Amino acid sequence: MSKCRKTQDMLSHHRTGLLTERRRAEIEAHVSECAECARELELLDSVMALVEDHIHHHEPPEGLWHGVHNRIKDRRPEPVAVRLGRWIWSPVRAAGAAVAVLAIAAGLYIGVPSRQPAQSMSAAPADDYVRGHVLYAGQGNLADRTASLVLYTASSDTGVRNR
Amino acid sequence: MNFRKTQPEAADARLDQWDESRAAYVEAPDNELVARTRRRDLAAYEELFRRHHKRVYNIALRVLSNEAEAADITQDVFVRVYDAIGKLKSDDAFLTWLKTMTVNRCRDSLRKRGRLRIESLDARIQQSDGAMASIEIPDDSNNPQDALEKKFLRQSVHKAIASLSPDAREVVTLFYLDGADIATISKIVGSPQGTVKSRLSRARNDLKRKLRHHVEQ
Repeated sequence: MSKCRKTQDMLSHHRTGLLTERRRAEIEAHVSECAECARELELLDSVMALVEDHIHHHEPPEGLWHGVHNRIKDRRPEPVAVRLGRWIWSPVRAAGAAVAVLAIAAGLYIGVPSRQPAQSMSAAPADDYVRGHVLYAGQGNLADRTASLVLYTASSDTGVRNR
Repeated sequence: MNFRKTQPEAADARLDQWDESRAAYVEAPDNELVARTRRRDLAAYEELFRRHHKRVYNIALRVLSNEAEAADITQDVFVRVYDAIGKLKSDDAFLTWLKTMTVNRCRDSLRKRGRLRIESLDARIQQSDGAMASIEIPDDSNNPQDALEKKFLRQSVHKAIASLSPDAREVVTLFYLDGADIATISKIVGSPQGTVKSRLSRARNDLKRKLRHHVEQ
């Protein structure tokens, strides 16, 4: 990149306080030797002076404060239920609540004992259960149930093998 | 934006002994008025409005080129600022916060219009009744020819700024009209300082191209 091109790229930062001291010194050194870059800098300075001199504030319309005042005054305090609803339904809190519900649901699912053995028991034919009860009830608290399960398992295995 | 939390106890004590005459409000610095506004003192907020609404209106007018929208946004910004003033951590940051709200509301408005990425707006200002008009330039010269020339130059400058992209208009307005420095503009527009510098640099080059014929004569 030629020195003129580089200088002209940097010129738009000149006199804005945006250049480092070193850059500014480089530009000024080049401009003092190069008529074309000096002309560009003069042009930019003139245009920005024109902007600064002629950019101006417009008068806002009258009565803006009354509108602000009325809007502030007219607003009624929100009912507690509405404020509570908004508090709960803020996105972060809603996401947190969803995670908590999922965690509780997962905990309940894992914590509940499997019903599979009970289903097996209930599926045992009634006569096997009665037979087991008669034979083993006197031997202990759960002896009849254990025997019934053994009988049912044995009969199921036989059924599978026969199939 | 991350504001420091500062609420000097001395300022609190001064507020407790506040003389509620009109003069007390007029003479109070911004940070004391902000502290009064936190206590829902509408007279203090009216004084803040009186000091700064022209600035808010002009930023909105330059960015949107529409008088009615600029007036609506000025009111809306001041209502929102009043509602949210409790969230402002430092009373000294009020002005930067006010301008940030203004720029954000202007962006919302441009987004609604679907013009955010359009390169330029009509150089004329749309009036409240929907008519397009050239801006009214106050005549502050005794010489009619000087006044006419000045008016013409102001209109040219206004048109050149209005033809910039919305991003560049924000930066030029804050830098030249509002006198904000790069660090403050960076906070207001929510962009890094390097981005603000390059937008300003591009805008200056654009303005040079558009206005050079006025200074080359």
